Amino acid sequence: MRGVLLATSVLLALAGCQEDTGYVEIKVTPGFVVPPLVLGPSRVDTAKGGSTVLREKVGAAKLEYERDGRRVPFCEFDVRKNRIVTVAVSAFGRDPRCKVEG
Amino acid sequence: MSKPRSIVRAWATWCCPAALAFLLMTAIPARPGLAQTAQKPDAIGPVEDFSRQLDELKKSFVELNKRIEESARTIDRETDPQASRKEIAELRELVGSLLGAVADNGEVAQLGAKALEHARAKQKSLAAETRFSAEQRAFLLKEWDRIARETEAATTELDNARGRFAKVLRTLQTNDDYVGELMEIRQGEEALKVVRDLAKQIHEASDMLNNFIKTITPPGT
Repeated sequence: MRGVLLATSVLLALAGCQEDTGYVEIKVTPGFVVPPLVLGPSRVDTAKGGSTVLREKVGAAKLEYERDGRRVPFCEFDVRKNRIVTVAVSAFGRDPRCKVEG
Repeated sequence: MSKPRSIVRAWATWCCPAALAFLLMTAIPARPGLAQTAQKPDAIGPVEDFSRQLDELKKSFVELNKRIEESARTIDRETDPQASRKEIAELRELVGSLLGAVADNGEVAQLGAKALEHARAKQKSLAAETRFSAEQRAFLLKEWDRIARETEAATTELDNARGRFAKVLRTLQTNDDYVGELMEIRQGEEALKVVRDLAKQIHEASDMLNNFIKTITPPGT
């Protein structure tokens, strides 16, 4: 019990001094192969199974993919304070597509 | 024989009432003294009792007044729909803070990734190491392999935690209205408890006042 409390306190302390942030969950629909994805300064590990959750500054955000050393935006959405937005990524041909929920 | 008898009769006729009267007269001055000592508590007791009850009554009314003001404030607070919204926002912030720490670009996840990267780098560098004997290198490699595996398992746990917090946050925001209603029910129950407590205290104060009025009412009125 003390361990759980300590861990929670550490997590809260680590996350304590932050500016207004929200969360983006990026899910690559199973069966689709997509190019490397980038959200702001963070790279999304698309090889990893399941989903990726990123902390982002509140405001307009853009999900981009990388091709030939260039970043191509393909999905725009709003990040709201202490809220999570889910972006499901699939592909049409070579280009990724997205569906935004929440 | 008859003479002494007549003397006795005469004494009984004239002297006995006189003696009784004398006894009564001497007894009278003693009575107020006795009455003073015996009646002292009767005379001051009710006054002390009265002032004590009055003090208690005043004190309890002041306390009751405070309680009524506090209860009014509590009920105002408990029935304010904004309060429940604020509570959800606080809950969301708390879950958000936890999710932020374990997010893929959060501090804890980055620490885990660094630890794993370090363990794998050590494995690579040890494989090419020539300073140690084969047994020593095998032992060190085995240890770093164990550390890498366990760090990986720990980061998988972090993935699970991330998934759980994300789910909670999503549930909170998709069920905002429902959670708000549930919180308002809880607040309604709190308000009910406050009203019940207050009614009980008012009842007790009323009993106290009733007893006090009885104390100050002269008997037979």
